[in-house]
Amino acid sequence: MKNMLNKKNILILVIIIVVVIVISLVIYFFTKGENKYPDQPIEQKSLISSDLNIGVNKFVEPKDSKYFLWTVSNSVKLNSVQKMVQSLSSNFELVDSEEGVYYNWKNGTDEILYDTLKNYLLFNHSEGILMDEAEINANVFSKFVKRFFDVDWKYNVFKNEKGSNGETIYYAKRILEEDINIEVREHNQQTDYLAMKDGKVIYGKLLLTEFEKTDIQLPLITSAQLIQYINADEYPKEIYPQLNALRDSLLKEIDYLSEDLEKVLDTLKNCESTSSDLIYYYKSFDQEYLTPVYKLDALCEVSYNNETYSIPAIAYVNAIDPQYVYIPE
Amino acid sequence: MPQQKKQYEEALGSVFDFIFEESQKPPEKRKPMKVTGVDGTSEMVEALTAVLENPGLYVGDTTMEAFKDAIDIDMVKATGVGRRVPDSIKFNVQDIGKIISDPGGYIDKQFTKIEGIRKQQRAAWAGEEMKGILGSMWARRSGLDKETQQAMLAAGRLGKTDEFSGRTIGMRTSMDTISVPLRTEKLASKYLSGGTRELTIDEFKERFGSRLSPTDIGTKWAQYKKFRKQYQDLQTANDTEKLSKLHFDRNLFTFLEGTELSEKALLEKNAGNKDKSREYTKAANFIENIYDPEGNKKFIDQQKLLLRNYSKAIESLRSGNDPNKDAKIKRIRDDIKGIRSNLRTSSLEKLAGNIGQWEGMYYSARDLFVNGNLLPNIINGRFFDDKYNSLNFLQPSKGDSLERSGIKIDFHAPKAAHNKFQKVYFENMNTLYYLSPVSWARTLMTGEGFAYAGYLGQKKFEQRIKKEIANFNWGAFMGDLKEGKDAYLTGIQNNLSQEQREMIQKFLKKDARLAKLAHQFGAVNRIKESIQKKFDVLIGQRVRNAVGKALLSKITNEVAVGLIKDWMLKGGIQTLVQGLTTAVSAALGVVGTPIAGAIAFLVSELVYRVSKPVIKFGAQVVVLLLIGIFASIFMLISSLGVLTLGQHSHIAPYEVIQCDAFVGTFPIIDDPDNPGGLNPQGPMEPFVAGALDSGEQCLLGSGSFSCTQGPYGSFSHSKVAAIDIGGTNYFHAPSFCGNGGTCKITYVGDVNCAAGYAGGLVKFTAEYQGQTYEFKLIHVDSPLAAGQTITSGQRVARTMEWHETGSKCSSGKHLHLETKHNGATVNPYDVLTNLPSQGGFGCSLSACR
Repeated sequence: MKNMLNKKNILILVIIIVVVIVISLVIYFFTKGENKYPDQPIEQKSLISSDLNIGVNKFVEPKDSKYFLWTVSNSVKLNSVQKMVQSLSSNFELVDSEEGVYYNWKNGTDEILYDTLKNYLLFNHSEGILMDEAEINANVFSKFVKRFFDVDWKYNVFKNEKGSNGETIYYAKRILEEDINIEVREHNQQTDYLAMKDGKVIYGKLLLTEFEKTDIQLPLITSAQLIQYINADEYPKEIYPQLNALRDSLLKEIDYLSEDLEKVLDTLKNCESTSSDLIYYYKSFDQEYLTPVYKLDALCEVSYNNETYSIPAIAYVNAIDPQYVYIPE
Repeated sequence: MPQQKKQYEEALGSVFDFIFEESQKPPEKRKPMKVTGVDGTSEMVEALTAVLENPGLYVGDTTMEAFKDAIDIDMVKATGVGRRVPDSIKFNVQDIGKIISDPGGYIDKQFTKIEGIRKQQRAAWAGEEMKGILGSMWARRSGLDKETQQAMLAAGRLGKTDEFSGRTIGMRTSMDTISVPLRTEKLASKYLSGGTRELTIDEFKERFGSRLSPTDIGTKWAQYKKFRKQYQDLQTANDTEKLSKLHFDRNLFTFLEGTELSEKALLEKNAGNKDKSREYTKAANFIENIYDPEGNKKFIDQQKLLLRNYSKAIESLRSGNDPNKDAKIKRIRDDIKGIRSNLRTSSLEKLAGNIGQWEGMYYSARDLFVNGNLLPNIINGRFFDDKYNSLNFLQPSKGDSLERSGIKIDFHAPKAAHNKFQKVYFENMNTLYYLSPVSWARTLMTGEGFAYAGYLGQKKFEQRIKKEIANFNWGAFMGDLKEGKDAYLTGIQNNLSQEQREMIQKFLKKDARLAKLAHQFGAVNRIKESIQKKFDVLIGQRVRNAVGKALLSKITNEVAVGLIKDWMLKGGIQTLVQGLTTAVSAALGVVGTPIAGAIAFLVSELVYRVSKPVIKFGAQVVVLLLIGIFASIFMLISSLGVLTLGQHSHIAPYEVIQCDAFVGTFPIIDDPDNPGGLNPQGPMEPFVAGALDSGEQCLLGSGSFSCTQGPYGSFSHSKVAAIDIGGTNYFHAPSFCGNGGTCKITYVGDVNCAAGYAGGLVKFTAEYQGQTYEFKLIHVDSPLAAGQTITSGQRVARTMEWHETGSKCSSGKHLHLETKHNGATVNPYDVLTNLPSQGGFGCSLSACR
């Protein structure tokens, strides 16, 4: 009897241990994919630090608290570009190039430049590339890149304006996933634009960089931490004043090419953010990673001739939890 | 006298001979003019030749009327309350006899004409009043205070003016010139005047943050500062005249009214009255957008969107379980009522505003078509004049002007068409105007026909050049042509083929010739205008000063005083009427009400009655001068060599204008005064630098490059020691960076000129062996950021393509470069081209133009 009881106890114990191990293994494997944070801090190459302070107001926390890390693929699309050049006209001649750096084709006043500094293709083709639509929308952008580069990229066409020769220029941001856009600093923050006239695309600028999603998740900095760290030394952030707001005031008094404008920009101060958004910030082809960045719309001040002018600015601020990111020397 | 000039004068002289001598004879006695040297390339010349050779067919009373009309002088401007047919008191050449014999009777007749027109304006005035009243009713219904109701009354009447004909569209009567400036004056004292506290940016955000984006708030803030400064400067200088004029500024009115209403919205919000606060915010939006058609449309679209959203909200509440849904639905329904009332008010206001326009069209139709007037009106040119023909669908012409090198000549151009049929009609009818003898007569006095020929040539060239060169920046090219510059052509010179250059040069030659002709033939018109001005200064102003001083001693209201002073300076009986009406309405406290409008009519009756005898008296004096004035016109003209009487050879004018020495507007290379184009005139130090390593490479990369604009003296570099470089794709860091030298980016950003985006700006410093170079690059794209270190030969920036920078500030693809050496501004050309042994980078760069 005693033996049987012992055997029974041992059996129960073994079963419990096995069940616990199985459950532990199940839990481990199921959650392994969920919380894969970087083993080491990520090198933040797309942002440096600025010593200009900015106040954080009306900050809206993003829906998720974690976003994925993307890598910037270093593959160039030279073959596709060459095929595109040939398909537009056999008269295009390669007039200038540096292997692996840039390629410049010309055909009269038409010009195509493939630049790997930022991996952009810039083209103008007076004959135009016929599209099926009368105007350019997100689908047209996707069709265009599919046709010439065989890629399935999605776009958000957010603005259009008239050019000086009757064409319409459409500005777009490439969509990374769901409703997250890639943005650049310049101009309207568009990654691409195409200009259309009489149903034909006559010039454009396309970002040809491929981005690959990793399974590494990046926890975001909380709003309280952001307020604490944003003005600390070395915190990754860049602030760019938007001079177009001064077109009807200061820029009518100051020649934009003169030193006076630089002196005005040197007085930039008292920046306060008024809204926030989360984007993926693209700066150059060799930035290695595409990381989430907070884009803050801000109002700053500049001074000229004892007058103070309010000027909007855009600040790009690191959004990743500081323990997972660093700026290279 | 040079041969060509003599020929030119003779040619003109022969034409005037004809007009004055031959055309006075009965048709059967007119001697045809023999014309030689016609080159047959111009329709205008051929037509003119045909007329001169067959005078009987073309030159008759109508032409003579038009010719005389062109040299009639407006002695007194006596415009009525409205805006229809010009109603000035003119002294006409053909009426000289009548004026001399009965000057008083002549003036009476002129006034009768004006009074008739004023009576016709009553219907339009009623329509205008309705518009203002509707705006005011909306404000009353929304429970807004009396001041706001008055503001809506004034704002609702603001209209637009057609600049060419001076005709007011949407009817602007004297009413708004009374209530708007008074209101503006009051608000300006509150917000702009010296001694008032300046609102801080935070206070601005508090007032406008709920309805404007950060960028718009920034713009509004800048506008506020600008208005404040302008206002206080005028107060300090005690310039009451300019201050008074500022009170008529519509932009200022809508800005101040919008600010005042936003202030009221904030006060109501702080007091817990959210609904009232919302109404004031709506009123602010309404006023800021009401006279801007785009803004008005946006406002209406927003209201319609609100209606749709509210309907969805009601549906959702009905189907939900919200315990307070009944109260919420009721509140939404109240809001919906308010929005529908807004939309009705907007439609009614638009309708009321149209009454004036319809009235004008009725009178136009009556004048044009009744009594078989159509053909004569086509021949005498009235059909093409907006003042006489305001039937939009029939009127083929609009005013335009040919601007070249600072000279402006007006002419009739075909209106823009919405479909092919309209296009054909407008173009052909406009051409018909220029084929009529009347327009030729006018051309001889104003140069209009030559300006039109220039316009046609310009249109043809535009079509050709855009087809020929896909990215040709027509806007920049025309901008240069208007100002007599060639910056854009200089910039693209290297990208043009020989044929293209020749085509452009041919057009420029012909265009310059026509512009010169237009200007020269406009001499008589310019003389006439200067005589008119002199008459006004010598006689008209003295009369006005005397009358004005008497009035000013009785009137204290600042706006009225401003108006009277304005009238004393420039004349125009309407201004006088407005001034007196303002004073009377303000004194009676009826400003901003329909009663003030009625007062305007009464005052104008009074003014005309009072001024008539004054003008009659003046006319007695004037008549004696007239004979002397007209004699002077002919003497002046002949002394300028434009008109000579006597026997002349019969040569058509067109052929003598060609000047072989004119080589177009391309820059002159090998200028002996400025060899190599490197003679800077600004504050640049000589570039004297220590030697760099012999292995130093050209910062532009390998190859040869062109300098398309040098430091100072050129159009866009007038204030900078910069050069523009064509043919380069990248700018590199010096080889010494990271090799014994330290190089760092100091600034990266976008740059905008007043007209728009101009690309990127990058600045970096490069230090080596005690020397510091600073480089500033514009119209570039860079992947770097301020503070980043750069390495040897690194590509710092890429020159942007022409389509990246657009055309507003940058003409074509080029790199703009400025340099400093050890803190001193130096010539970038020298920095790039000097050998490394002289501290330069050994680039192969052409001499700057």
